[in-house]
Amino acid sequence: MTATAPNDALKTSVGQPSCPTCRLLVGIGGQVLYSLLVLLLVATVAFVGLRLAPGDVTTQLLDPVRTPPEQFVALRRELGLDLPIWHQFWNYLIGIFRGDLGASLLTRESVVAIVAQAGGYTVSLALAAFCIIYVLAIPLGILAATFAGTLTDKVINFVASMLMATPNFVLAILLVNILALNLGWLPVAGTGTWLHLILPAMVLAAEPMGFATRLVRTSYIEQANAQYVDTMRLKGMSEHVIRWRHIMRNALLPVISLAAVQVRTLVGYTLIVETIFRWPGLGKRLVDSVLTRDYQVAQGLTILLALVVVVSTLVSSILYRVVDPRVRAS
Amino acid sequence: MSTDVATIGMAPTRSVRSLLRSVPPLLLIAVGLFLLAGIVGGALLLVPDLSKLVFKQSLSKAYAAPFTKGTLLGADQLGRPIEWRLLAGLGISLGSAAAVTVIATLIGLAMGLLGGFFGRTADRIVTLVIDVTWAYPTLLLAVVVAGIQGPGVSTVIWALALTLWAAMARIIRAQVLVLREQDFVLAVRALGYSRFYIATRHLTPNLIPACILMATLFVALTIVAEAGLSFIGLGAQSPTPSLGKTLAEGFSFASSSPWPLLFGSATIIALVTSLNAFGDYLRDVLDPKGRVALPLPGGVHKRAVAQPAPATIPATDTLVVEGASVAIHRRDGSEVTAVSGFTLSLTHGSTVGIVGESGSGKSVAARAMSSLLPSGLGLSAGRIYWNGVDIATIPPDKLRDSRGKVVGMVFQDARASMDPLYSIGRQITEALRAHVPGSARAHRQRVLDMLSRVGLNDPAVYFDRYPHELSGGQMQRAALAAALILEPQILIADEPTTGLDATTQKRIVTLVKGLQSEMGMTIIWISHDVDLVSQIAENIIVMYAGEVVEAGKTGDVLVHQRHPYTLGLLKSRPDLTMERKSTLRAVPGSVPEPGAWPPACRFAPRCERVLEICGRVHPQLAPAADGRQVRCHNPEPPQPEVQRELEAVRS
Repeated sequence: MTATAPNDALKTSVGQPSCPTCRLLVGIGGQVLYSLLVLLLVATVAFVGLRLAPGDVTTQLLDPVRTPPEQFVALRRELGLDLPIWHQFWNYLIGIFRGDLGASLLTRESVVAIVAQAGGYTVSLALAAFCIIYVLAIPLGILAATFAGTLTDKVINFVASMLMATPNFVLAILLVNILALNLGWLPVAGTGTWLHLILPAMVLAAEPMGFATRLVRTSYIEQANAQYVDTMRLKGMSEHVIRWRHIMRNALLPVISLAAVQVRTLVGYTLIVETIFRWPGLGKRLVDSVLTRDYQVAQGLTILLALVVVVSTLVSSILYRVVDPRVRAS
Repeated sequence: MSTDVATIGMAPTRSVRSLLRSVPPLLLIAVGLFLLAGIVGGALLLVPDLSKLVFKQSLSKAYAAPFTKGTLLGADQLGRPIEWRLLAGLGISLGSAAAVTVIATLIGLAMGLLGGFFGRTADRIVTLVIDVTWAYPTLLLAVVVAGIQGPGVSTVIWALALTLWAAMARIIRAQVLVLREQDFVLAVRALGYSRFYIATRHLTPNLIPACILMATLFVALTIVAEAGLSFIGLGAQSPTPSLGKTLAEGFSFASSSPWPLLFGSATIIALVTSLNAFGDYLRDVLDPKGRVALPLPGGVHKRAVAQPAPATIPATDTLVVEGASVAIHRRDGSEVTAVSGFTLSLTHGSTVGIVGESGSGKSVAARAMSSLLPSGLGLSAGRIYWNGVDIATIPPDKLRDSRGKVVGMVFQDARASMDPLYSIGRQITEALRAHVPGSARAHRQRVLDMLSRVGLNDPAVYFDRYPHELSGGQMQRAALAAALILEPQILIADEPTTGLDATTQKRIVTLVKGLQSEMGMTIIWISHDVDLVSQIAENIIVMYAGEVVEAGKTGDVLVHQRHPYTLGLLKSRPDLTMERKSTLRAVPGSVPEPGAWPPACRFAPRCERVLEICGRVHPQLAPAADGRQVRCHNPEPPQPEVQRELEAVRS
């Protein structure tokens, strides 16, 4: 940093718009474009990945021994598989762009229809899990931080560590045995009432919640020890304002990026948790499609779930830009 | 599938041995035992004669309870002993974890180095590939790969390795970005070595600790993922005894025998718990940001000993400190003295400089005078008076109201003393609003006035600036405005110019002097720089190891240092008027830590004029004839030739 006279012009990078809102919008625009590029590549990898699967899709649909060859040719033409590979790729991309994620070759059901049917289940499960995670993790983390070093802190930390260390299918077994089979409070699996949602949502939330609690605790303690907090006390500001307006806002910043990371985690977990609890969401449909070798559905759902991850990352970085002035300009 | 992989950041460089030393021995033993069990389990599967222990079915033993029918932990539905199944399961889990870790680490390390050290284009491509990979949730990719390749342990391994490398690459890249700016890397680059050579020979060794931490996370992740996939039928297939398979079968047959399920769950929880704890300890060492200091008791003024009744304090004295001692409260409950017997008396509008090396206790003394010690510190003796009132007798509410109005304080790191998320103007207004009623418009005007008074011309622009947008000098001006907005009677400046260059230092000193004459404040200026302090202070206090060793008028102290420490401190600074042959004299040794002070004279071990008495009797701060105070058994005698020389220089 060079010597700066008081009337020195403020630092503005060359080629950047000067008004803060414009800079913010330019930054967000760049990120949106980048996310589109990532999505394009995600779709490409999914396309190539499907071509790597053993065998031609036609051999799954038709009996390779008994079917006459002309029927194969007809099916290949019908599915567009006779076209050159780049043409197939182009059609595939155009399809995605139009919202067409392909269709099951076994049931002829389109992926979009599957999403329309199963998506709601996954969204409600994931939302319930998200609520459990943050409604509990943020107050518990702050509580532990406020009483850092005391018994309260140690108990919360221990529970959080145990939640992180218990694989979710083990937790599922435990909770099903205790809450469903022994006490009979909750249904074992399946759907129907909102009670069916509780067990899978708890299992889905457990590990991310443990992690989020520890993150909030660490972050809060770090901010409460920051020098600006001391400086504010020296200015005679009230503890209330310091705590709720300054420490809290700084301490909860990392939660924004954590939430995006945890969307990715939850998407992965739904595959196992939905299968265990026979919850008819996207995760279970994806696992089923893999088990029945219905690759078109697997591909479509994979792209869709990757889209969810990319979009949540994008949303979290935009939020970060809005909330944290330090990131805004970069 | 733990979330932490993507959210850690670490400081580089630590030896592997020092890493392991930070882990409690019991945990090391536990992790070691699991490793051993894994090796034994692997041997069970690979050696044909032994594998029949794992696979041999015996219907007579089906659902055996622990310690019956020749089994240790019981047997499963096919009469296979659980203990052998679990050992083999550990072998599979740890073996696949090792494979995942090796593949992911090698790819991640290579990509991280490529991105961090081989130019911008390479970095952009690597970042894009990482982001694309990371868009697929690990378990999702594992499921899809398992579907395409057919379920099995090896597909799980590939699927995990193909996503987890991205987490490793991200961490390594971030570390390389820090490492490449460090001197040793810059030095090797300047010598003209190739990037490849530097990356492999100099960067990689520094990245190994981070790799180890990530590897422990990968091992835990692989074990959980493999078991989870096997549980839903996409991992190991019967009769492969993976942990997930054992649990899945145990779950199906739980009504006949709970033991396989019970022991299986216990094994996996114990294994993952110890691995997570192991990773936590490693992270504590590697990531200093994560290792938070817990708040300590203290921070308030409390007195352990009964004090004599206060003497009458003249109301003309803005600030009086009588024999103040500050104790550090350690976590183990013990106390260590940081400042002892600090005494000071300041009349309205005067300026005093406190000088000393770091560790001398000058900042702690200043914080005690501000009425708010940092957490972990407490006033253990003495009294502090603001305008003749002992601040320990002021009720907390009133004291808080007085803060900011009586004492304003600025720190060395002005940026850290502001909340990064709010604009400068808003924060200053906030302090003003806490004390002074008035309209928002009046408050804003007052803040704008103050910003221009501290030399931030065009205050309306600076009002909306955030701390990170200002330079060091501008930031210190903003901090001054924040400290002065309530027009305090006393300004405590704790090394406010230390991080700044010489020109800016000079400007800030001039500014504060000007503001003092305008506003009539009393100033306490703390610095290790005697010359700087002499530009602003009429009186100088020299501190050493928590106590005042010399105090007097600035001119007197500059001309003639009576305490050997003051002499050393002044001799150790460079001076343009120095003769070329004369050498700079640094005081040998360093300030002892609180708690390690010599019992008698604290400076004796470093002193050139040490006498026999200095090791026996603690010297008192004695007033000398010229109004000076010196804490020394053998002070420097006046040296006329030095005096003449300095006076000649000064005139």
